[in-house]
Amino acid sequence: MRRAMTVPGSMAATVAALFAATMVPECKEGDRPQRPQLVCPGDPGCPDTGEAVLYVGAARRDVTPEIVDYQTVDENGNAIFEPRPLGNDEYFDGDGNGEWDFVYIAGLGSPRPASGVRDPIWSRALVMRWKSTTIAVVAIDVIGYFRTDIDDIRESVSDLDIDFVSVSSTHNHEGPDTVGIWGMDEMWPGWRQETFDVIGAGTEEAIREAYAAMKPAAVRYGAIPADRNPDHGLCAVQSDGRDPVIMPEMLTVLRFEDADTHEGIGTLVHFTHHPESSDDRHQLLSSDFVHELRLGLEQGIDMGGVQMDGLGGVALFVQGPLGSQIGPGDAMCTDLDGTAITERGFEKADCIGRNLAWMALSAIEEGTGPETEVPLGVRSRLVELPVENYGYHAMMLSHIFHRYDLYGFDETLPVNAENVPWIKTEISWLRIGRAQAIGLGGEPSPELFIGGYDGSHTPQCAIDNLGLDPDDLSTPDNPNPPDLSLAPGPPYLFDRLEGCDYPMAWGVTNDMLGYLIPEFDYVLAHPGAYVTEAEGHHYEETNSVGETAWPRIQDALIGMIEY
Amino acid sequence: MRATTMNIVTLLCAGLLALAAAGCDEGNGGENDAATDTGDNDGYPAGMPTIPEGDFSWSGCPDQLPNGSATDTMVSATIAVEDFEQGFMVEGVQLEVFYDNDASGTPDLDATNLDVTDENGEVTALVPAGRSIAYRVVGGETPLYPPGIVQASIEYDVPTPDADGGVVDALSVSQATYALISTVLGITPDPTKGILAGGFQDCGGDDLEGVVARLFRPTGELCQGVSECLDRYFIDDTPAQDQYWSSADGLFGVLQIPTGSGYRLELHGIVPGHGCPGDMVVVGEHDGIRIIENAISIVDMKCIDVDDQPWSARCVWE
Repeated sequence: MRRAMTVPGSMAATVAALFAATMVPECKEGDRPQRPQLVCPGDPGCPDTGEAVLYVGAARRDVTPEIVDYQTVDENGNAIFEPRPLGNDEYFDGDGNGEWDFVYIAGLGSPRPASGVRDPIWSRALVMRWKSTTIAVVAIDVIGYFRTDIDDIRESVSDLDIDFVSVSSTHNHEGPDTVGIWGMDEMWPGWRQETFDVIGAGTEEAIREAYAAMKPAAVRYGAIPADRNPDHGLCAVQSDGRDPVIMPEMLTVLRFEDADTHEGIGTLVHFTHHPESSDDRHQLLSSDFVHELRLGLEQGIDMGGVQMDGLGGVALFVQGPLGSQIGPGDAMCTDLDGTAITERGFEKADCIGRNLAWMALSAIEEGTGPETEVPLGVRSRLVELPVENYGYHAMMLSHIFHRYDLYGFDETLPVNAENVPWIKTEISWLRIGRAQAIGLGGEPSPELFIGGYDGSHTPQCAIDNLGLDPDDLSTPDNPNPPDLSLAPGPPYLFDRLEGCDYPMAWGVTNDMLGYLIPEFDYVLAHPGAYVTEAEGHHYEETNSVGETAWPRIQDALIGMIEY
Repeated sequence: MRATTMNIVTLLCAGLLALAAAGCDEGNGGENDAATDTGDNDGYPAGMPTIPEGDFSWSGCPDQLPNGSATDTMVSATIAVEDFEQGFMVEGVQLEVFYDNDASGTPDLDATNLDVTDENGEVTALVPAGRSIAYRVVGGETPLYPPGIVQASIEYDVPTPDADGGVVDALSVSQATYALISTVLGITPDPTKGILAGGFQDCGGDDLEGVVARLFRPTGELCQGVSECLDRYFIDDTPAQDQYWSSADGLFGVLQIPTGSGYRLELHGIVPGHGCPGDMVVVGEHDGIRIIENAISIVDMKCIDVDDQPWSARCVWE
């Protein structure tokens, strides 16, 4: 028996029926919509009183982990560490302890130890206050941060008068592994405690500095479809790797400025795109396209005849609903000077980042004037989820995942369909004046928020480039396309946001859950659920918490939004 | 995110004979007992398919080489040790070799008279010519590759070369692989218990699907359940929690087995029309298996070739 085994990262009818009957645990008390655990203003500790003035502060910290050990010889040039006997790669043992103290890069191929820094890994914070409600919004250039690790960040600033700290990951595939699955193998996780220490300390400092720097502010809103690339429209900066092809095109920008001088304090930019354009043929830490996007927003753009002033202050990128492989995939970027970038690499990341910066600056230029009536609000609650994914069971039992909050199962028995561990994830809803943001800890499919099954979010460039059937929005080579007749109709989640001119869905926020997929298109392989993929475009199911996760989260979200 | 890169006992009935006496179903009917396992009351999984008889070669299985002994003609052979999962040659491994194909007794070769494997994963040894032997990997650590730390393993029925000499292929299982087999099936490995794994093949060397492994304790009782002797099968060479009989890759694993010698492995499958109650036929068997703690025992089995029939002329239920 000489076999190679692979784990992720989807029978007979009788057994399939058996599974359908046994895989879905009974709902636990508390899963159904109920009062959010935090309602602010509204809770006793968060009255709707105080000075009706918007205060905003912003700060950032370089949280790039120190690279102690690094690869020195890459015999086959694949950026993957393959020491003897796997290969003949060598490494520098910086601390001389004989161990591999690598900073593993979180994607795509692994193990990919960092050997240098192309651009820093950042933690950036905006702190806002209106009356008695104070909210901190943090974005970190990492793949994801588990809720338990986010609670550590919150604890570090618990002495400050902040009602809610929202922590988003940019889902950066070129940063340090904070999840664990990009390490050496199934016994050697990719996370290092030193990375959490650096990120935790830097984030605490950024929040404290932003908090201390709060001053009277105004906000300018801007939102445009990111389709202004003259050659390829939206397809220059976005693609969708899973059918149905539905693309969240909106680029939303909130620019906070000094209420008196109008100097920039900070800019929150929101778009949907996997930061992985740089690919995995290098060993340099980077924030991928987010680097050029933030740089352009802060310092301006001067390239190829495009000249725009920067907004100053601290730019902060918050990721959108990037499930279904919303990312660089088939994107064909043309840079501002007309250079076509087809291959993945840093050039493509920069091209996409510059295009987005240009369009974000345009959104602000074409957006509202400064507004000072900016009520803030926040609701949040925990949602209990069964971890049904067998691959995740393995990652948890072997402590590959940096997550230890499992409960609700018998630890003395095998973990399986009859003995499922549970986790608690956090969902949130924020109001920032005329903008609202739904926050959740996974990689949700955009259609969960915007619909689009009628083709209203499928650009012509994607139809042309991918040869899509406009009726089912699917690629011609998909042997098992989704049945859109089963897709839910409106209202979608954004439709439920009352009084909202600028809706946002913040993915990978306040937890890390993997993909969240619409129920009608959630297909598992049976047998082999979660370990092998079902036919068609169903990779994402193998990297999801389970098939009941989204219905539970959706119920809780609706209850919270409509509370 | 694309990454390129799983105690109740449940001796559903204690032994097949006892099983029938206790009123368990014959054949493949019965209700599922999801609280304990996914099988029927008879211990077989619900919906177990018929072996696709026509697809397999039931004749021409090479005869099993006789077990060796210290009195046989010896040949100098190269034992080449390969990593079970990743396929690299494993340096620095210490082997024990059992000429009689029984890893329960005293090894004929061990650290006193056998070197560790060299940088090519090879070691030279005198073994009985043209026989079946067993070996046990008892330790070692692959230089420069800490995840390659070797987990103990045993393999049976390993053919040796004839008098002209040659290579004996051996396997080493890393700690990572050992842990993965367990955790992907939802089990935190119990260091006091062991794993049995292997593959089923027909006489033509094709992997055999639709077969279940039944392991009998040294006392003769069936060992089967959730906390002990949990049997699951692979899909595309990866263990799967919801695969209850061998898939097209023919691979199986039995986990959480109490240590001991003298286990018996049988392969059972449904072969209709051959007069067996419930059509359940013993299509393969192996005696004398030793389970050691925190280790994996490997048995690759061919179907029994008796009169060119796909079974051993023995029904599961006599």
